[in-house]
Amino acid sequence: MARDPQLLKGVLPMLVLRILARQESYGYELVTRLQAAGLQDIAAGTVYPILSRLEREGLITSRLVPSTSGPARKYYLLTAAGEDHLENAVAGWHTLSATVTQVLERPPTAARVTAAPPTDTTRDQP
Amino acid sequence: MTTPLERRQDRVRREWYLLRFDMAMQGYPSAARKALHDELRAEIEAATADVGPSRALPQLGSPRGLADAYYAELGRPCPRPLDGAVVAALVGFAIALSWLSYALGSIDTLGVQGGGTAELSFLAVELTTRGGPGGMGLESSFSWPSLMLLMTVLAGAFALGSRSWRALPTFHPRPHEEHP
Repeated sequence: MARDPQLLKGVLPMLVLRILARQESYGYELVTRLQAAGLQDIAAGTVYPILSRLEREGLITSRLVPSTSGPARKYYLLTAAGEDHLENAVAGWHTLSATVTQVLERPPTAARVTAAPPTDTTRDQP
Repeated sequence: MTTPLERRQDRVRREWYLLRFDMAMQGYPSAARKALHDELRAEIEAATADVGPSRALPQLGSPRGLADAYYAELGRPCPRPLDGAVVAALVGFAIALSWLSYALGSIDTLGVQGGGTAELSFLAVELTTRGGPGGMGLESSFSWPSLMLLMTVLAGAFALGSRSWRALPTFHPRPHEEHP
């Protein structure tokens, strides 16, 4: 079943922060970790701008690490502000998720409210 | 094992991608744009080392789409100076073409009428045209008002094309600073 990109868009920064909280990563490695977690259709072009914004907002920081298989990699890791932000985001997600689940799983009520047929109040009464 | 030719082709593809990305990022704040360019180059090289060039670039999507994603994360619209320059150049070209057409038309008319000299004014530029059996000639003189008019038109075209009003400062709260 195709995933609605808009659904993922709102939570992707939180997922990025969560993965970086577990282990620092460079950009492409982070993409592969998201893909391995089940987001197979996520593209590097979606993740890099988010990393850029999170770094600009001070939620993550980076350091260059030399690599034996190519150029130095820019590893991203969470800052203290990022940890706070992640904690709030996760709490917000759980609240929203519980609400959405409650609405979706609420059984349909037996008595449905039916709209009354419109009455013409402008007509003169006999 | 890649051959030198394949390596060169990969390098050309990467540079072409980065060039198109830079063009699409023309309106991004310049200091950050340079940093993003270097960052993206490093990420492409890292991804190429991991999975090869055939998968590294397609993962990024189109340069325009990637630039749009960076703009979206910036959270505010940016002016597009390159677009403005293209629009101003097109308007300038159209003015020059119409000016030339007007001058050649007047020379042709003089030739049909048996020759003579005409002093004309077109878009605030003074024109003196001569035409006749002996040949033809064209003189023009730019005055300060005509130059100012031309510059104003070109500046207006640039301002519209580049969406320069986007450079005006506005307050955009960051998402995590907004009140719930």
